[in-house]
Amino acid sequence: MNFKKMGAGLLCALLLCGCGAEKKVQEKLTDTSSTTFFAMDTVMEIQITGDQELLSEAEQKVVALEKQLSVTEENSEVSQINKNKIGRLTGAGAEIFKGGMDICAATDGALDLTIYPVLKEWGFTTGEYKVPDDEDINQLLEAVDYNKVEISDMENDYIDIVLPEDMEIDLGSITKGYTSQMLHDYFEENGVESALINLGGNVQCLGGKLTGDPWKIAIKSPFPDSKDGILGVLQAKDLAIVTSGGYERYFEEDGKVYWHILDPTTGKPADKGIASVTIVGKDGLRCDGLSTALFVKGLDEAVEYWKNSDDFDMIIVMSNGDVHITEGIAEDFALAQEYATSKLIVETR
Amino acid sequence: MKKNDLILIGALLIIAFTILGITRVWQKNNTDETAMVIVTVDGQEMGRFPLNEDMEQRFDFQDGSYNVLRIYDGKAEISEASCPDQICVKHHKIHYTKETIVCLPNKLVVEIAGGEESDIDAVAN
Repeated sequence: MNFKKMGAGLLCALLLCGCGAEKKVQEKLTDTSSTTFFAMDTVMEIQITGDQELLSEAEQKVVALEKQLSVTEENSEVSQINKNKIGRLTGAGAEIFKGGMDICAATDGALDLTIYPVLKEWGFTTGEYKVPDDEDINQLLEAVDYNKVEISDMENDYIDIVLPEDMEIDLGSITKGYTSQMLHDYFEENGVESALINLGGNVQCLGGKLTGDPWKIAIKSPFPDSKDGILGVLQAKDLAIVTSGGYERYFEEDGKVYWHILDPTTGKPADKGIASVTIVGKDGLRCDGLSTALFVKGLDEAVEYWKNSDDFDMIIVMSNGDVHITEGIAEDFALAQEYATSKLIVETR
Repeated sequence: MKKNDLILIGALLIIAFTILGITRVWQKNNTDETAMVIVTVDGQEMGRFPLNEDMEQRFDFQDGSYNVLRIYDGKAEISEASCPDQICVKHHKIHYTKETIVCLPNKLVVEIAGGEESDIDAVAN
């Protein structure tokens, strides 16, 4: 009789073993939800530990923001302003505009929300690339100056702006950064403790991984001959990581390479010897705007700017392969094996 | 202990191990051990190909644009495409699980599944 019980017990135990293992796997799968979709001219991947519903809500938020602000969407607030030279930005649009203008001012116009007509002339908005005549560039540059954007009225939830003739604005250089921040805050408010938001390479994470470990965020190598395409890996918790580099969008003509990050003073690709700039900080919008602005400024001015700030760190890869990293994240970053022999310079305050 | 008890225990053990064996075999058959290259267009799967077999396939779109997927030496790449920016063609070859190559103009995504794991969660670029 005892043996009978033992046998039955053994059977149950064996069966439970199998069931238990499977249940664990299933739990893991349902706990972490992820989604991939196309928006804002890029592919977006979001994974959260939490309710799947939050993800569809997040996707809708992104699509709504794109409709409101895209320069290529004819009825967007931005397009209407560019067409009529007068108009209103509401809600998130007003917030992005304000955040962007702050960075324009703080970087002395290294970021300029009014560079759009020049960018169009180069074909970077359509992919139909061409090198414009100097004359054409200079003509277009006359209407490039964020200081000339006139704010006629402003409340908490809207801004009315007036543009000079020929001027056009584009919030594209900061919209993805704002969006990742907005999603981060939305998930956090809804009790999510772990999320990874990747908006076409604009990365922002909420908390760490489920295990409590930091996320491992690779920084893309700006060099086309890279074997694995990865410069190094940064361990991050609760941070936005945004990289800008000429490698993202470029074309060649007569043996010369032209990329999409334009210097607002020359109207030509910014060329201060930098291959890519990665900004790491708490605020997605600020990281996004600064990654462009500091690429334009060049290494020395970028380091100077960093020394006078206290809300971000950065990794600057020079065209000659040298890597400059600021002290705040130096210990969290490791070069990929492929770049193990690169010169790594730690910048200190 | 009666003879029948022994038979019962024996039978129970045989059943238990048979079930265990079947589960193991089932699990093995249902987990793909070869890495696959999955091609989607705007979220719709267009095909999957083993990463360990060299091949080339062209994906054509209604408007005449196209991408050519090439798998060679255990890595996948877009070897040719009609898109103006050529970002997908310039992308490095991929072979780690969850690595992707994206062609935005054609909304085509090449992704690796079930292969070698890299411990990277996302790539900032």
